[in-house]
Amino acid sequence: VSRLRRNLSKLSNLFRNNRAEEELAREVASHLTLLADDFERRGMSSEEARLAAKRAYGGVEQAKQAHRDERSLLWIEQTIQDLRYALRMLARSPGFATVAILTLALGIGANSAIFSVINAVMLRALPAEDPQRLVIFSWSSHHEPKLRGHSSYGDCDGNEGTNDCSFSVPFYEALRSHTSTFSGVAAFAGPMEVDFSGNGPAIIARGEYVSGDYFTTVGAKTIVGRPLGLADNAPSASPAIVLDYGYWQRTFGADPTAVGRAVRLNNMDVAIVGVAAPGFASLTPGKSQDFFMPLSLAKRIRGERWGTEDRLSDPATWWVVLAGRVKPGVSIEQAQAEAGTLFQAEALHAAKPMFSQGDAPALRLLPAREALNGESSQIAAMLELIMTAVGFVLLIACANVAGLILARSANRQKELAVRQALGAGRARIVRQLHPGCHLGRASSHQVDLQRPRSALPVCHYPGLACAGIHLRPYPRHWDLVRPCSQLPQRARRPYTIAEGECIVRLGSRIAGRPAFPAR
Amino acid sequence: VKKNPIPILQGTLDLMILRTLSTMGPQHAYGIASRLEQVSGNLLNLNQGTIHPAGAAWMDARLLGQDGEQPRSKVLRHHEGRLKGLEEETARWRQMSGVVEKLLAEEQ
Repeated sequence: VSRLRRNLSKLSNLFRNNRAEEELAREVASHLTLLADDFERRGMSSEEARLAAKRAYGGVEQAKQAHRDERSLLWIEQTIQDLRYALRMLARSPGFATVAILTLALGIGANSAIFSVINAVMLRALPAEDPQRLVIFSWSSHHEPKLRGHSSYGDCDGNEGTNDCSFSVPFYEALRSHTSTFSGVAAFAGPMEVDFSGNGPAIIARGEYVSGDYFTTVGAKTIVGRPLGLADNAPSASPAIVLDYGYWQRTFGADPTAVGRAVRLNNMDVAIVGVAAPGFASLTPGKSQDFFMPLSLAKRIRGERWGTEDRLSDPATWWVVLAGRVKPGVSIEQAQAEAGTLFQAEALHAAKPMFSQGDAPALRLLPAREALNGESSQIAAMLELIMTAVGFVLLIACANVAGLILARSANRQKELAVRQALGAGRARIVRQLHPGCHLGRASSHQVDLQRPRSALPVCHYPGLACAGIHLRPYPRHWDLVRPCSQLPQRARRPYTIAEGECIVRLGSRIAGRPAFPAR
Repeated sequence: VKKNPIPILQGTLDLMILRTLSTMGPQHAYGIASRLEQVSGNLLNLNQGTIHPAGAAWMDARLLGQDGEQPRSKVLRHHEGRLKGLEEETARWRQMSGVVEKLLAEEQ
């Protein structure tokens, strides 16, 4: 305990060093005076007494230094000194500092740019409440089912012929009404592009169809207004939509009175009833939508790609992804057994069976985080490759800066020799040189720190384009090539240096002139 | 007779300071130094400057305190009822001197 106390008190002394130093000086002075007075009383002249007092006291500076060592954490104090020294040295040679900082910033910038892509696409946590209990339904069979319509929106991996996670709306409804193992089952599909007018000029916006219990099942909240509910899903309900937070920010200017306004979707009037909470984006990483609309609107808002069949009631049109929340205390196996029985009944024994007996259609429940991988499984390999590449770029940058520092330290040999001659140990000298290197790195980080905490939607990366790697424009996955201006405010960020360099290169390519002309 | 002052043994200054404070009551560094010189009959070669750092260390450990805000120099004192440091140092010294005494006794 007493050691802890001592260290604590040393730490606090660190912050009132000046006062302690004054006190010490005063104390030493008064001690010397007292001693001198004493000697004078014994009959010395005042000058003799002063000298005798100093002799009796011993080395004043040594005593002071011993006192300093006692009262504060020496290494912290020295580190602060070293940092100050390093800052002074950097400031004294701005050319060197700029080159080192820029070199490292380039490497670090490229790394963090790629990492933010990886983070958004591959590492992101599911924006759902209690995601362990959220499962995605997926089916598989030996042969392709006989379906009238089948579409998926790139939410899960899969081969649309023999395994996928799209289902029909009637199956969803059967599941919802018969289940005893799920506390909620929600369906969603999209996003679909629709004409969005009534707020400035008409534009194309992307709406996700969600069933009435989507918000409660997933656990998504709204920050303004209310979420969509079961009542909104009734065929006769007055049409209502909930805006995505980012979309609300950029096209409605985060205006709270947007809720209650009427807009037109493909010539149908709908009311905005709420705005989703900022943390809630799409369940599938990399996807995003502008608003959520009830599934029942699928009949009324006509999509151009759909034929005459009513996809809300046709059991042979599979197009919605189902997410279920398993009740507490129920295992996934139990839930899977129950849902599997229902699926077999629908698939094999319906009025018009979609599978034949030999197809062995089966239903599986997958953890949502695992199932909803979107395109990430396809671009994962590429991202890893790029990450490795930029990792090496950083290594090279470090090696370059190390070389610079080495060359510079040759210049300082004399200075180091003097320091050693004055009694600095090797360790102390190494420690003094160290912060200089780290400061350079820290300031490079500073250049790069402007990025947002969640760079969720992947904004178009001049960096990637510049590296000669072009993201394949996935038809269902436009987010990867959306320009920054369309991203929500929080996802925008100033370009990092690496990106800045690439912009220069891109611009020069367009202008047909060399970016960094040789002299 | 010319006396040769002996240098202070490593680690014994702490004990001397603590003991002085407990017998003489609150003292500043100068008071402690004069007391030590008086008790030793000038046999001790004491660098009075070393008392300051030693006192500071005990104050950091909260085993010594200081009397009020002194305008010129700190008056050191034991905290109320906290003689733990003194007891420990005394025990250490007894052990140490005991060992040395034993060794000397064996020689005779």
